[in-house]
Amino acid sequence: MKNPRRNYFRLQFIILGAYFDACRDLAIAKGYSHEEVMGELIKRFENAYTCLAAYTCLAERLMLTVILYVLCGGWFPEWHKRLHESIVRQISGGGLERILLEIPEGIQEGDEESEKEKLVFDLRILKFVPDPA
Amino acid sequence: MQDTERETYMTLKKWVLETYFDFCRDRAVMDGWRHGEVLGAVEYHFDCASNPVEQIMTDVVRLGLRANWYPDTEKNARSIIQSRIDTYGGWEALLSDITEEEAKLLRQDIKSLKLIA
Repeated sequence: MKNPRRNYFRLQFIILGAYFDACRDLAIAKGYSHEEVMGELIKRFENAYTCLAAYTCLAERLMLTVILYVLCGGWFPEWHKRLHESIVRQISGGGLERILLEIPEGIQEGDEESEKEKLVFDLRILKFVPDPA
Repeated sequence: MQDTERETYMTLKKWVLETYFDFCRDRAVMDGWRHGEVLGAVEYHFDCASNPVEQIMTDVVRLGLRANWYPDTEKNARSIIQSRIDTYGGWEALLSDITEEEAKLLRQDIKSLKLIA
């Protein structure tokens, strides 16, 4: 059985919320560094995808990797490289086209903009996808 | 002092975090800005809220994003919040002026940020 997919905006909201909580509860309360906070977050969210049920959704996995990649800000070379490679792996060889098929066109209920366009927009800014000619 | 035009703490928090995300994407990953510079840009972006409740709420989120990684400037950020909350009449006054849902979330955040005991 396939889990219902969380959309890009929802995932961003969840991960940013978790990041804020980690700043509060891990950094302020326990003295974690910024890199340690990101490491915890990556561990928590990326590992969720090794479980079979969630792994069936390629779109959600790509979205998650993109969000974590952005939050790493290029500040932590090891995480930056790992997440960059993961995104390239996921979108290469027709991967992005297959993933985009999983995402409906247009603006979904409760959203202010198109989820698909936002994901492509972010990938384009991050230079994973070339600018339209 | 309840203001019906005001945005909720949940909405303001979402906006600040989304702005942080956008700056991470555009300025940090792509332009090589340091984390402190990204935070500075977020702070500047939200430094003119339309009313005191919104201002204090965005201040709290911005303080959370700094974590405790910038002790040199944290003191100043905290004293700005303190003076704004003093002007308002204290945390309890503010917490009683907002909805229960907001108060619960805000109280949790300001407690963790050690703004209240």
